[in-house]
Amino acid sequence: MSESAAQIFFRNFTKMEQRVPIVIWQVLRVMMLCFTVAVSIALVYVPERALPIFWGILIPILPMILVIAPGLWRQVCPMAFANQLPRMFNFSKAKDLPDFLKARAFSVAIIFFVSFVAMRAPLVNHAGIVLGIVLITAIVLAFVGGTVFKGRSGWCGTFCPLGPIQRSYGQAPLVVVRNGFCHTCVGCQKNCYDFNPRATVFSDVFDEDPRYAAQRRLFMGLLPGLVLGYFLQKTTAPDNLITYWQTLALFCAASVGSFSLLLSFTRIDPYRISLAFSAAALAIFYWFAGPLFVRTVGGLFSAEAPAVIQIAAQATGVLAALGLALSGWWSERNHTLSKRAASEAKFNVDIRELTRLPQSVTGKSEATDRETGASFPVAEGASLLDAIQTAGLKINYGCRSGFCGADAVAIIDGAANLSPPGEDEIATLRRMGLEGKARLACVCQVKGPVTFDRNPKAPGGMTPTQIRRAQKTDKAIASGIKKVVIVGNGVAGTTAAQTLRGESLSVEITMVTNESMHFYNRMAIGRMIYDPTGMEALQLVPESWFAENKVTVLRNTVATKIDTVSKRLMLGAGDALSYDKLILATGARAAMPAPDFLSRKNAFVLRSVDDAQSIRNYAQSIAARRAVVIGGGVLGVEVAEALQHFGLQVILLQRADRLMNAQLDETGSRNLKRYLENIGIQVVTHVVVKNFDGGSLIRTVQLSHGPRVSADLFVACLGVQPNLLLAHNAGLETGRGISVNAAMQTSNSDVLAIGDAAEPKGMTMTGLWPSAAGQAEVAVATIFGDQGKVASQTNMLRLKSEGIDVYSFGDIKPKAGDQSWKAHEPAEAWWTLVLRHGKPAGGIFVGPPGSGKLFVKLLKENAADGAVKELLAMGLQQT
Amino acid sequence: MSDFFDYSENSHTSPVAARALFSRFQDGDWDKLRNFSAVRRFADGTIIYTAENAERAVYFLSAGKVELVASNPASFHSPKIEISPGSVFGILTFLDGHARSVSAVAHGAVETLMLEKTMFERLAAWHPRIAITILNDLAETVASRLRQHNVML
Repeated sequence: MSESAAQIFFRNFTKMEQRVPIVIWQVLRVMMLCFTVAVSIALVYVPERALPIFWGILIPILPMILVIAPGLWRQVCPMAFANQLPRMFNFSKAKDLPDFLKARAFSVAIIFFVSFVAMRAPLVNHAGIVLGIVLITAIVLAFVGGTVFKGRSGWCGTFCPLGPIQRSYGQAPLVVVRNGFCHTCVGCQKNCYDFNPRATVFSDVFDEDPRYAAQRRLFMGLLPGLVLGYFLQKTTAPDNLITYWQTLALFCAASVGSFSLLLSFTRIDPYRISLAFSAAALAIFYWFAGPLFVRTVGGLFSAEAPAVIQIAAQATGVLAALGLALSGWWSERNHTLSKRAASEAKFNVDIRELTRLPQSVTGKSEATDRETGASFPVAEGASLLDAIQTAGLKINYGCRSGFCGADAVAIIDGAANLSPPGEDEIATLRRMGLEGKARLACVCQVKGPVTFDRNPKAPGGMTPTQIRRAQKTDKAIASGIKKVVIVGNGVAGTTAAQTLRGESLSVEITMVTNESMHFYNRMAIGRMIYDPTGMEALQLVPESWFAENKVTVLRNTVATKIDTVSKRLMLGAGDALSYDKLILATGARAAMPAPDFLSRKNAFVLRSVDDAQSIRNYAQSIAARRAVVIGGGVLGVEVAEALQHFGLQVILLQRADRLMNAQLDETGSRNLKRYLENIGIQVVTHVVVKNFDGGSLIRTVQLSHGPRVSADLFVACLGVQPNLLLAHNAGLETGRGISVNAAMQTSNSDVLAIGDAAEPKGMTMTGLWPSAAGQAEVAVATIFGDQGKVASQTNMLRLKSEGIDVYSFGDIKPKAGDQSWKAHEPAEAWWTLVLRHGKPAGGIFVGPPGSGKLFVKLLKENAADGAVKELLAMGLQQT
Repeated sequence: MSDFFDYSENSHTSPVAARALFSRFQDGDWDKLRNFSAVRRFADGTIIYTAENAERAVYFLSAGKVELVASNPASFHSPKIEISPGSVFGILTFLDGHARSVSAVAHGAVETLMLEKTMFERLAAWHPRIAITILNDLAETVASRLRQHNVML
């Protein structure tokens, strides 16, 4: 059955046709009322004739009618007719049933019904006058109810003792007879049986009001016990009335108890339990009442009913019960379909739109995350990292170039569908102890189905393969170098150590660092503020690597002095390390807005993982609400976003006229500012911090033009200053950084400098990962006498934000003779591109997350003509 | 009160007879939403999320069927609900961040469009009108369900 057909199955009476003319019903009602009055009178005056007919014929017929077509009875019920007379003749006061009566009406009906059954054997079965009075009283009460209360709330749907039995036996009508009393619904009662007889039982059993549902379930639960308790005892006056009632109560209690046990300890649907109990009550009833009916009918004709017919009458009850069960099952099925259809019609989304994949995802490749079991499409040309992030799965990442190793993943299946690893990736994986076991997601192009695990050490991954390396000459032996000391364990220092060991197994390598940790993913420390992924996730080199590669690392150790004559490095603890070559990778430190800035408890910088943890811990310890970030460069923007993500109100103060003024043009910076403001960060440009007010805690920052800004914590992001002290004290030539030549040698040829601390002659200090790694390789080449020469690199700067794509590359301002291209305004994404001699020399991109991938790809491929063509197609115009 | 007992004269105009979600989207809005959402596919029997999971994400079912199973198997009211393509599920946790009350299990090959709260906030930063439409429609859906419950009070 279709869902629409299922809904038709539960049409309410207002949507049903009136097939039988109302006048016929009215005639039948009058006849039925007269018949009932006549029966009542007969019960009073000729009880010996009327009682057997009432109990032996009329009562046994009624449940069968309720199973087949309960609406038929409700159309002609004398009580219902009496109840509706005031409404038909417009003298009903039509009052709302008071709430307290609404809540108790069903209980009253149950009490009426159970009391009536309990009184049958002691009184009603044989006292015609009492039964007659009860019938007339019920009709009078129904009439009074109709006179006072509106609709059918004065009796039929509320207090009528037949109501509960109708809702039980008539819960799944085989034939629905339209309600003939209500021309329009007046909403007089909840879950009205006359409104929608097939749906009533579901609304009763599954009603959200536990009392409402419990009352109805209680009745269906006790019904089999009540029927059995009545018939198993004598139906004539009991010898001991108390024992009789106690026995009856015991049957009821056992029945209700069984119902509750099933409800509590099984997973059977409550509706099915209710249906089963109703059907059981029906079968029990006819087991006893069936033969009685046969005997009574036979008695009318002075004939004795054969035993086989009596057994057939019992079987009829079983069949009726079976019919009720089947009808109920069908009803339940339609109810499920109908509810689903109704629910979906209300809250559905346009399926045509849902099934359209994003424009960016057109490839046939698919990746599957083993942990969640989720698969997702991978856009053509996208890296596995891009795809994982697009799918909304958490993954660590860093340089996105295969150097840092933060995004290593285990490939469980489909390794052949990934682009082969390059030298950089293999070197990084080797450093991490994952060579042949994992891949770096950022440099994997997906060409077919792949299953991965974001834990690179997950079991069941790629079969470890031993990468055979050609036997190399030990360059240290050839060049006479025995000891190399490296100061600093950042990317430059660690790459130097890694490269040294790659070139020589004999050279003694010692690293000195004031950090407490081994080399870690410094690019992820901003995320540490709001997402403490744990130190393990930051660790880019396993502890074991250093031991396995015989690299001694002196952590928490400060190098105090270089004796360039004796070639010794003095340490803070008084020790000294002799060297043949010394590499200074001392990095840089955060610039301070004031000399005593960090002496305040709520003043921070973000340069190391310790800084990130300090910010997080402090903000949590004081339940900080507001933060001020001083400095609107790359780090300032990243920190502001991280703090906002952490839940703080953030004010970002920028001295220049725009954010990231060194990397972005006015439009790009404006778009970045708009994005930050839209996520709730207050950006103030063109402001200079004049002073910090407060004692051990900064209370406010005073701006040079007067205003003060208060906050709970303050983070300075004013750029970095190379750590020059060691070099300076050693008499090495320094400028902004440690002056080095193209071979990374300082003014002392045995001392080399690399990374953030080094200032190669004629080049810009970028502070970017690839530059540092490249310098380290050149330095090692120099140490071993090779012709190493650092090349000027044009690195792509990427703002580490997941909510906006910001890229800056090379010269963002065109020089004479350059071609300059930019996006049309207003554009969602802002691009500029500078072409020099037909090749990209610089450019910026600021746009929604994920939108800058093509821009980056084109620049990386350096395909100038093609790049311009494609960019033009995306809306660039030449200026 | 269940849908079967909507006593209003014109039930099709009743408060619970809501229109389709996102019907107020303008041209291109779906593409923008998709750019901030994630397509996720699940094999038959895969648990999309478990009860008690508090991942702030709402799912739009584009293919297959999903069974929502009550955290308490003996839960009285509709312990299992099977939903079909076009349905939206996981709204409450998306809105309030509290643990889910049901588990979602894929029936057959299932494809969903998942919108995380953080991605929604980014969408709001770039396309506030779309975000307001989404939030309004999800709120209307929840409100509609609450109204059905309130009738019972």
